[in-house]
Amino acid sequence: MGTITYILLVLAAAVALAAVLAAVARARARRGRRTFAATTDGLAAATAYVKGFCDDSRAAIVIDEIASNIVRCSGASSFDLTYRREPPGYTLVFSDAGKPFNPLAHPDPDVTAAAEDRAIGGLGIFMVKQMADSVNYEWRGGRNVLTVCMKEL
Amino acid sequence: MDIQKKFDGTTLTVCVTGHIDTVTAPQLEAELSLDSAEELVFDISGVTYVSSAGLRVFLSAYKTMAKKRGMRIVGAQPAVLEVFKITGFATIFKLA
Repeated sequence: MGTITYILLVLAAAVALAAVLAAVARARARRGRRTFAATTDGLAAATAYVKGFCDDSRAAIVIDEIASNIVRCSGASSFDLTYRREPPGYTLVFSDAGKPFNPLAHPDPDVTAAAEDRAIGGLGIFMVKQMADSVNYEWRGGRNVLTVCMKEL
Repeated sequence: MDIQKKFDGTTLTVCVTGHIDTVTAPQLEAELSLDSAEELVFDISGVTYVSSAGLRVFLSAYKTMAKKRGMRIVGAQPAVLEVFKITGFATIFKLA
């Protein structure tokens, strides 16, 4: 009798522990923040990092467009990327200490132009605007902060 | 990204697998030797996504091939097709 009670108690404790660990893992997977070098390698690392949270190819495109802008134009040596799961979608926040630059202030490219007149400049941020639910730029505490909210497909 | 090329003396077929972004687009561009090709076919059925860096490679190849027998893109997955549509390239490129 004593032995059976003991075994049941141990089992119950194991089940409870597993539930707590799973909950912690889920909570962790809902958000994350990391600093990456403002280089092509850093960009690739950021893409891989977010892929651990969500396997949406649009997230990879958003990171490629925004981070490549930071790498090319900001003059910053690194950038922070935050992922937040916010049902029914997720949010990506990019922040860097480079020179103030609002990518949303640039005019949209003409996507109806003929091939000969097509320029690629500005197309990346345009794609982000089209794919995202909302995109917001702020200059906050000496940093460029770009918040991209995506709806899950 | 993986690139396989096939040339039959007229048509250069380039099969791309993986994704085409800032990191991989320069590799694809470097692999395109279009001098002897009359026609260019991109088989992108194995491509998961294309960013604007990839669109730049396609546009540049399109312009080069426009003087010859042209360029076609075959096998675009829905996510990639969506990018072509958003950016207006769906009406420029021959897609199949």
